Amino acid sequence: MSIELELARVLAREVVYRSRRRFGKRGVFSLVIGKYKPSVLQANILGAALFSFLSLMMTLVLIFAPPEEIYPLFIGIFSTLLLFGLFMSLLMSIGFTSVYVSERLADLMILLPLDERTLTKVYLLALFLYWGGASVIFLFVPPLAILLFKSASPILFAVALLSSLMLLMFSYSLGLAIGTYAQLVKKKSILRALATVAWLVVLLGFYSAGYLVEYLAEALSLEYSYLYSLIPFIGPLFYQYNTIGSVISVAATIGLAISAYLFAVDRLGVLTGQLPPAAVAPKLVKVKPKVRAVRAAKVEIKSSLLGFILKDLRILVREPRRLANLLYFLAFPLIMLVPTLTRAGAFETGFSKALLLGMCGLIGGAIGLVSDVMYYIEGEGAKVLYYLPITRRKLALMKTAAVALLILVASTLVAAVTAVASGSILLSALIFILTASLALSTSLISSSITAHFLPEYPSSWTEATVSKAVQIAVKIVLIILVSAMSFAIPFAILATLGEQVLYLAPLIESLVLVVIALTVFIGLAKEKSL
Amino acid sequence: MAGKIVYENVSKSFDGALIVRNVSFEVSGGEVVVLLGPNGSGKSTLFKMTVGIVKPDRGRVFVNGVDASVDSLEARKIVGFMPEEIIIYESLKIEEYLEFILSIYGRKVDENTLQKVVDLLGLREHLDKFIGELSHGTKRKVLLAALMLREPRVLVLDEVFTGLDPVAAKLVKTWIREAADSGVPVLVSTHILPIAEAIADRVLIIHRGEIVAEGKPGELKELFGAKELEDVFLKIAGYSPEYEEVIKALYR
Repeated sequence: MSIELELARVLAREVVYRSRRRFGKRGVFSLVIGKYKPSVLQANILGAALFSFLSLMMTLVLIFAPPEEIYPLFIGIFSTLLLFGLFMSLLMSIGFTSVYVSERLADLMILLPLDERTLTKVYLLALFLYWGGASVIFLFVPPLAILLFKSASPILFAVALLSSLMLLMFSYSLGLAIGTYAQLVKKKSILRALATVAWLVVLLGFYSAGYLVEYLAEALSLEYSYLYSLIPFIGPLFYQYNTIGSVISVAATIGLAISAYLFAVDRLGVLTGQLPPAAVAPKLVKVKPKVRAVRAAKVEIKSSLLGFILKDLRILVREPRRLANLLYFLAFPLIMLVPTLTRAGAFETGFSKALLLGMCGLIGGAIGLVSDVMYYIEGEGAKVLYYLPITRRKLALMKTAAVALLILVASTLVAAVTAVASGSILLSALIFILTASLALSTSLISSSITAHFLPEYPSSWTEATVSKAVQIAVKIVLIILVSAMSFAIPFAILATLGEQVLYLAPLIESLVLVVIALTVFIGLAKEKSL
Repeated sequence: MAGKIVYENVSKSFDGALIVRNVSFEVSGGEVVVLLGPNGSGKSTLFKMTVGIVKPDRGRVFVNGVDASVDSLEARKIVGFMPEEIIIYESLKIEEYLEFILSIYGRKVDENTLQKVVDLLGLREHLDKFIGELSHGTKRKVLLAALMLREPRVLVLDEVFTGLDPVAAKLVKTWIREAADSGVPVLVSTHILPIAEAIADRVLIIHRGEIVAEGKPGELKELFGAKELEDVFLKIAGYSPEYEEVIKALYR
């Protein structure tokens, strides 16, 4: 093994270790990326298999398609794969580079007697071979192989190959360059906001991949092919419909790929320790040195609860990835609920009202499950808490209180949508009580269980701190409990007492779950120090 | 009322290795005791017992009469603990961190005192930075500022001088002395022996988990026939002149 390859292996292992120390295992993401494996084959085989399988499932239809239908089918499928490839490769390269930069691994690398060129090579080998970067290529292998097998147009093959290569060059270069700004993101609130939005898009893209693929496959119908031909990376595939447009997009594709490459080259200095991570272009104009006004230190002592909540919220807003995760799980149920609330007849029959109450209860319960995030934001800082006079019970309560503000916002939104859709203030108020109380209850239950399982010795807290099996079991049990209650109680009332007293259901549900939550809280979150 | 730290026949082992062996000593209110010992001799383990983070296998540790392993919550309210490693929230700013710590302890702070502490420790110019951006020494100063503003009734400071500049070190020495003079028991560890000599009312030397020497710095020097505390330490730690030959040979 060459020294570069050996160093790349060590570097990838270090990035994986640092990444897990900060974020823990990352669920579905860690299946494909960011999982350390000691060989190139092991690092890429799972991703390659998953991507090949996904791609094959989409492209299998090409094998059985008659020759005249291959072209229109192929461009729809391949365009979708290109978009998915763009998403995955950006995710991989930004993820790897941001950990490398924010953990200051360049400071370690420059201690080695290696020149800049070798360091760059080591970095790229680590990203592609040991982080799983190479596996994205397998998204494009099945469709290209089928094209060859079916002896389809060599122009189509060449264009598809060019598009995929340019896309990989573009996305990896762009991801690498963006990742180098990781430390600047921590400092600038505007960049943190942008990063949060970007992570929300990533989460939406990842968890809604099925819907997106379906939507794209439909959207990329040939009706607007003359427009699609102008889109970089995808446009070249539409050469039969708009040759001039395709030629323009070929130029744009190559131009974008080269620009991203140059951008990445410009930022390589950060990776090789030649540029500080937060470097900005040197200004040629003479600037007056900034005179920073000396200001008085300001410390406002609050109650321990308020002080703790403020600390949590401050950390949360400075962690775009975790903030996005939390916002996603608060917003997603709302997105699911709006079509139900706004469809015609949603409030007309007793059955539809009972169904609505059931859905709102379930959504409330699901929203509450986000309280775990408030533990994981502690990271290395969690060790501080072990030296403070804080009990596990108080911790469980404070973490629930920290997420309560967000729960109240989400519940208010659900209630507001109900009010607008139904015109009933009473129903909207009941929905608010139901959603908020169920969310707070599941949040307290989840928080109490997490507090119970926290390590006894000062440790950092990440997604890996409490066993995955416990986390999944808790979520499944809570969802089953909440679903059963949310639907059983309103329908039981409807069947036995009639529609007139259906409005009792939210109050009964809330009461039952609050009692369960308090029991778990008292039973598991003990009055003992961490 | 003057406080007290009491170690009563304390032993602790990790993974079958005995780290602390039957240690007993006291630190009275008004006294500065410096615990010296080579790396891995059990100092930090002993220190963590005062806040119940490490529980002894045998024996007990009391802080102001509170058994730290039984009521660690109360112990943490009493003790102002500075761990050897920097344990802090890196994504907070200095004022935010101080606000959090002081809120947890419900400690109101006088405006004038706050400004003085911030100035003395040279933190004012860093107020708008995240703690993660600060140097190792400055992070320790933030931890010190929190402790100073808290005014705990017992001080346990593990390697508190590590990374501090001479000005800050001088301030900390004065602060330790003042705390002791006001009745606070102070237990400190440091590898900087001149500082140990300057601040200690009493020195304990721990080696392989056992207290092997105890006394005032002058008494220890006399007992070991040494000119400096360093010589006492080296003798106890088993330093041999042959080591120097090995080191010198490295560059020959």
